[in-house]
Parts: sequence; C-alpha cells; structure tokens
Amino acid sequence: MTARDPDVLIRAFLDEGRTELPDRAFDAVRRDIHRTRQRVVIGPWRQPNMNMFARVAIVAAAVVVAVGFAWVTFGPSQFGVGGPRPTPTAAPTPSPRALPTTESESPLEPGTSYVTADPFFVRVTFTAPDGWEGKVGGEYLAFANPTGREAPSGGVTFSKFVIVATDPCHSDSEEGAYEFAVPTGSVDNLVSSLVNMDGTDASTPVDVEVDGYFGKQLTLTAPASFEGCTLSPDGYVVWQLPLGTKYSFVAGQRSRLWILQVNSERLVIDVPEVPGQSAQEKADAQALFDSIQIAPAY
Amino acid sequence: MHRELVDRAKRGDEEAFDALAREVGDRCMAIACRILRDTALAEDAVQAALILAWRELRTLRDPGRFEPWLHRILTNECYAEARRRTRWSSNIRLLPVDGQLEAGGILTVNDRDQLERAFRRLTLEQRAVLVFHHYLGLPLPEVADHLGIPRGTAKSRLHHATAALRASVDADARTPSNSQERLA
Repeated sequence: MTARDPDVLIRAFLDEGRTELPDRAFDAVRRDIHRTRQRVVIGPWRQPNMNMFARVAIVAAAVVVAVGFAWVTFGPSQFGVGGPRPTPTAAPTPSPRALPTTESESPLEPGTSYVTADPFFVRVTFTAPDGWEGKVGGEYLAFANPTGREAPSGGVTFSKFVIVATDPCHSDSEEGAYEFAVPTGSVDNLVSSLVNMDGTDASTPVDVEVDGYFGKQLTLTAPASFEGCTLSPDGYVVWQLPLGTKYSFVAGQRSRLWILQVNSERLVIDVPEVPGQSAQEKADAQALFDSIQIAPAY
Repeated sequence: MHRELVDRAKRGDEEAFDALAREVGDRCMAIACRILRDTALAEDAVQAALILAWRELRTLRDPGRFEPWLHRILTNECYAEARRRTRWSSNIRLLPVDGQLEAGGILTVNDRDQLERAFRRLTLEQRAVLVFHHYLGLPLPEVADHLGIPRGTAKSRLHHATAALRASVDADARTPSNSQERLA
C-alpha cells in the first residue's frame, strides 16, 4: 500500500478535523441534565440483539404455552375430566395504534391508545375519548377532536409551529406580519413571541412538566368579537406551521398551550376551548390531555 | 472503564454522568464533525445526544454497551441536525477545518478538495459508515452494531461510499492540471 493508495488518502482525510468538544458544550449538558428527569423504565427490557439459540428457545417456549393453553381450553376438562378450568387472566395491554395518516380525519376507537407515529416529529400517546376522530397531518401536525367539529375547535392539537403572527387582528396587512420564531430555539423565545402578540390576552407563563418534559404553560384568549379587524381569508391567524398551514382562532377562543422542549424540538400542545363547546367535550379534551405520554421519534 | 459511571448515572447521579460525558464527549465530537462536516452542527448534535442519553439511560440494559448505544443516539442526532439545516437554510456552509490542515501530510490541497466534494455528495448514512469504519477503525459487524443497521446494509453503504471517494481520487489523479486551475 503506497501513500497514494485511495484508502490511505480517505483515512488521512477523515483524520483531519476537530476532535474536542468545547467546555461550553459540557457545561450546557450539565445544566440541561439537571433539569431533565430520567425516563422511568417499566416492564421487561427490550432485547434487540437476540441470538439464534435464544430465538429458537423462545419459539419453543411459546409453542409449549400454546399447546398447554389449548389442552386446558379444549382438552379433557371440556368433557368433565380433570380439575376446574383456570380463571382467565387479564389480556396484556395492547400497543398503541398509530394515529391515522389519512387525507381526512378517521374515527378513533374509544378507550384505545393512539400514538402520533411517523411522520410526526414526536411520539405522543393518548387515549381516545368516545366519539372523537383524528389524524397525523404530517411532520408538524397531529390532532384529535370531537367528530363533526372542525379541527382544532374543541380538540387537542400537537404541533411544531415556528412562525407567530404579530397582530392576528390585521392578518391581511403588514401589521399582521409574522415573526419568525427560531425553529430549534428555546421554549422561552416562542413563549415570548406569543405573549407579545397584539390582540390576544396571554396569561403569565408558568413552568410545567408533562411526562418528564419541561416547558411553559400559558393561555391565549382571542377577543370576543373580531369587529374592527381586517382579516385575511384565513381568519384570525395566530401562527403558521413550517409548510404553510395556518392556525386561526375563532372569536372568544381560549387556548391552553403547553410548550415543551422535547430533545432539541419544541412540541406545542393546544387544548382550545371555544364558544358552544359542551361540558362533555371539555371533559373529554382534558381526559385526553391527562393521558398523554411523550417519547422522542426514535 | 465506563461501567461504574454508567451504573451510577443510571441511578440518577449527575456527577457521574458529567464525568462520563467528559470521557466520551471528544470522541462523539470527532464522529459528529466527520459525519456533518460542520463543527457548529456537530456540537449541537453531540449536546442533544448526551442529553437524550441521560434521559434514556435507564433503558440501557448492559452498562458495558454504553458507547455503542450512545453512538447510535449520536448518529440519529446527526441525521436530525442535518435535516433541520437542510430544511431551514438554503445555504450550505463550508466546513471550517479549524486550521488543522497538516503541512507535510500525505494529503495535498487538491486531494482534500476532491475528497471533500465527493464526501459531501454521499448520504449521511453512507458518511456514518465510512466514519465508523475508516476513522474509528471498527470492523463491519461492529459498525452495524453501533449504527443499529443490518450488516448487509453497512457493507453495502461502505462499498458505495468508498467507491465514490476512490473514484474522486482516481479521477483527480488522471487530471493533475485541474488543481492548479482551481488554486489559481
């Protein structure tokens, strides 16, 4: 092998470059882990690398269990031979279903766990209330809402938005221009954009934790009437998703927002209350929110 | 080496995790820099990977496998950082080499230029395999383990990536005058 050997050159090329992580990065990690709770592990370990012997052993064990079950269920005890049949055991908790990625919202089975799977950027698991529908709208949006209600009214929305209107009341003019919220920035800078938005009332943001993830909670309230506003055809637009989807409030909407730092991204959970929403719908939305579990997308 | 620190960190000992991060951080930075070809992005990816590792540490069954497990998280964070960069910036930043060009090394300026261009044309997944194999010196089965991919996939990616880089070097060797034109 000579010095001009391509493999030697490739290795030499890869040898060049920085090899030290600066102290500021270590300091940042130290600060962040102090604020980050470790995930609690419940249940058996996942075994990603299983050798062939172990696989065969597990398959054999499964066959034995299946034969045993069949014997107990359909065997002699069925015909009055042998002891009493065993009491059935509870079925294991099923894995959450993927929230549909269909063009329009799909009905959700009540009491079933759904997860905002690929392509949504975070895995949010929740339990569906009775009479709700939902979908994953892409990498940046997933939602569930009472069947028949136009999303997001009265439902729960999960999103990653990056552009905040400065004045939703004048969404058709330059005054209503959008403020670019840094996509990978902090929760605080997004909260600041929302609090400073003209026309909506914002509650004082408070620190919160949802399923181990930290962030801020605040409530935005739209005016009871949009009289005097100059709205674009999209209405009272408060923010925009990266691919252009606009999110508009209805008059009198009161949106409770949880903005959480999930790894390097910000997950925004919106639980809006709108005029005409029933007490049952509010209770269902709260129950859905209370059931939320969050995990990174991989 | 890391086992005791990992055990302590799994029990929530932040000091232990800090010490662990300082043991593995430089190596992570070296890997991320080489995959992403951008020190700022690499720094972000390593930070994100270490924080995610802290959060998920209790899911790591065997403390002895901390580093392969961390490397898998790290490469995923590298991919995520690169995707974010692609999505939010139409500009491609050039690699800041940090003044580490070796005078008297075996690479000429032209070699470096050719390899850099060829490397940037590779997919991130191909780059990762190259870095783990050629830079860390891991054999293919271990590369596959660290990246969480089948061995066949690792082998295929390595083959295509190496072939592309070799072709760039070979092509350049056939046209020596090009380098002078570019440097002029």
